[in-house]
Amino acid sequence: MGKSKKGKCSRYIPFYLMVLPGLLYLMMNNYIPMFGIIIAFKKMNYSKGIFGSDWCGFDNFRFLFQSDAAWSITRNTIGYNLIFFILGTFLAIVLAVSMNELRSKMAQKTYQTLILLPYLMSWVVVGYLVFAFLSGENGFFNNTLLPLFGKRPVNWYNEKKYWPFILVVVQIWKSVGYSMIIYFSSIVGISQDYFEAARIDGASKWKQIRYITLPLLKPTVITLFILSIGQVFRSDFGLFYQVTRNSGTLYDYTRTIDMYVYQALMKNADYSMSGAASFYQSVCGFVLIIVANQIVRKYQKSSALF
Amino acid sequence: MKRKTALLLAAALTLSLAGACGDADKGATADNTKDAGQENTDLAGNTDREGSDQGGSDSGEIVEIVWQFPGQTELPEAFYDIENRLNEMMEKDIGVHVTFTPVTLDGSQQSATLMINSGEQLDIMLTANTGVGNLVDQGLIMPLEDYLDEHGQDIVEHCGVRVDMCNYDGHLYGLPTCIEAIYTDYAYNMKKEYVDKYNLEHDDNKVYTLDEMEAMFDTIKAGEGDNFYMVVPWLNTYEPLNGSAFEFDPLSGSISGGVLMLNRGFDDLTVCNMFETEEYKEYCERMYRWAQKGFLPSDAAVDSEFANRGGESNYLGWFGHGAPDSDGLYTNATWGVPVVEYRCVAPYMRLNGGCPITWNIPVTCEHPEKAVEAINYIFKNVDAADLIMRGREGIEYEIVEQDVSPKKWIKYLKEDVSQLEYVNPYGLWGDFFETAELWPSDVLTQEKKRQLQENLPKERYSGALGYSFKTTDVSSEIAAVEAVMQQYCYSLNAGALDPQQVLPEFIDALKAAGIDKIIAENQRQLDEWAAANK
Repeated sequence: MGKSKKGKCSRYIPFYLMVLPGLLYLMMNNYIPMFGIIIAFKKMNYSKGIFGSDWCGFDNFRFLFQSDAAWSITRNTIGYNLIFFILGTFLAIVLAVSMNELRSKMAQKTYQTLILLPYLMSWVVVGYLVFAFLSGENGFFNNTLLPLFGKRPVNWYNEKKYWPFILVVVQIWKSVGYSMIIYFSSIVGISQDYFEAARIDGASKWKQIRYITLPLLKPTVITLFILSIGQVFRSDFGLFYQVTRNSGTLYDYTRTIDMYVYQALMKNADYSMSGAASFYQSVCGFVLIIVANQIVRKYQKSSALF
Repeated sequence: MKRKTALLLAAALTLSLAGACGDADKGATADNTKDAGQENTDLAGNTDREGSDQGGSDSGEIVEIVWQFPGQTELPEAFYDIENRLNEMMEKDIGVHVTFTPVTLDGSQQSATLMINSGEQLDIMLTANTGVGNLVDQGLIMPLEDYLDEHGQDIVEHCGVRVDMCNYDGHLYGLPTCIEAIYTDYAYNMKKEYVDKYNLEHDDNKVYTLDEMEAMFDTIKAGEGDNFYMVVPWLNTYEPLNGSAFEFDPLSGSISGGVLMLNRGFDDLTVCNMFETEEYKEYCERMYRWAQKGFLPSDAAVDSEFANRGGESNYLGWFGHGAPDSDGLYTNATWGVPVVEYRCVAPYMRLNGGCPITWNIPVTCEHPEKAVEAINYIFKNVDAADLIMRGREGIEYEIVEQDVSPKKWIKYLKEDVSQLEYVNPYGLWGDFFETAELWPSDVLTQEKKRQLQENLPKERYSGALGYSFKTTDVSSEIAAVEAVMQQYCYSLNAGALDPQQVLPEFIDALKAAGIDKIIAENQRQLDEWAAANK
């Protein structure tokens, strides 16, 4: 028994050696800097250094919960992330399945490229594209589309009620191509035998999708879900800052935790306070990952990450 | 075993993803201008290394000074030539080689903090329109009083009282930039063609009320119609109408710390929440009304091009810097058309967080005495200041013959200033009263300013000059209040929100964020200071 175990271990040694450079990189890049989270609990003084600065308990966290913005920024951050995930996954799967049904390779490549294109654009460019639609003076909506239907112009950057929709549309337009590729590659990986067998049994296209493609996509969805739940307390700064042109009027619906931290600390660049905010986001994200993983484990053990 | 390895890998992967995203967030937070700035630093570094090699071989004692340069973050080729010319002078005279690192005026502190933390060399940084308090509290900058006598004599000579206004917590943490006037003087800068076209009254010596301005705007609007605008709200300051609405003194340099309402009396030391005052309410209502009348474009609150709007053909002008008379207006030169001034507030002197724009020296600076000497040099050598401010003779400007004043009078070689190879947007270098006068401004313009400043009556001086607000105990509150201000101020300044509904909401949010606590603390410190300095 002991001997066989030993033999097993030695068999794995080359693999461990292969992992080693990656692990070293992880240690240096991701683990060693983690000691820096202590600045979240310190009153930073650069002349005393990180270790020499005085401890200050949870003082640095206070500004996050100081004003009544705490609720709206948390709601926005989590809410948008959930909507992005649910709607984004749904659309990406629909696209991936449709893409898979395309017979012409040429058309497949063309569509894939077109849908992926926005993903490669910078948020600054996207921000200006959106502005080209929404601008009060020269925007497409106010000057062409709305008059066409006899509607009055809308002051888009001052009307917060439209922004949940605008942000969702923009985010999904930009990101759906990328997640579509992930799902598409999973679908391509499904063995053709299943579909062949189904066809012989007389299953329609819809039934093949319903009973073969979708169930086999589930592990991918679950993995991506667990990974994205860890990011639920973070937000894409480009989307919420560039696309909204940082308009104060919209903050109720567009301000996320990251945006708030930026605004509160832009003037005085307090590293301890922004460290505290980041720490708060990480801890919440970590807890959520564990919880989500536990739930997934209960429900389908093989899909859980750990 | 296999399972364990898988688990380890999975955990590592998750964490690395989390880590990567964390970094990405931080990167995004440190806005785009900074990235551009750092790229340029590299460029600057490259050009300069050649220079310092040459210098080093001559004397071997050249000290390298990295200096923040406020302006555009994308620098033209000509900039490096100017840097080299400056270094020729400085290496010869004081043994200093300067490398400029470009920053935006508002982003300078943030980018300095980043540079200091990441161990990059930075010897002179800029603080603009905000206090040095947080830099001092975090131990980022050093006190300078010890270097002043030996290395900064010209600074003292040229800046006088302004040096005292750089004090914080009993020490000198900054050195003044010699912006042209230390008094506050803002005015409406109107293109002269419209004054003539509509036959408007205009008197440089009169202080116009906002009602009078509004009447003029009404006349012009009726004549010019849609798509013609009167007001450009500045999206880099919260000050109502860029200082033209009423006199006040933001003691800490930001309205979040409470203000003295100087329009009520210059010796009144009551710290107020400006947003709660009648004056502010009236101002917001006026902005809303002006927006309804079409004086401001509908996207004014999010206009990233605000700094260029005033000169555009469908804008009448803006509330901007004033001057002793219309001929001296900066906008005359930059807009390329004659501009006249309607002063809405008489000149006055306020603390505004001490000297508004200061040079500071980070604790990591290895040769602070040389850094002070470099700042001193720009005051001492008018040619050096002229070079940074106006560029090169024969390339950017030519000298205008005159026998009125001993000063140099220069004229830019291009009518559209933005077409010049090099242009310095901020007047922060050297003693403005001594540097070259810019045509078409009268050659005596600066002399007039100097006189105006010297003749400013003491009754127009804020009672808090010399005071500094130590914000350490209320920094959380200040952060929270700043976030609230960012939500509302720009939109109110642009007249995009109805103050009837929004102002009470704004004030509630400020109170929830703790503005009352900040103001109480400020008042306490101010009273102590006043008692000690009677």
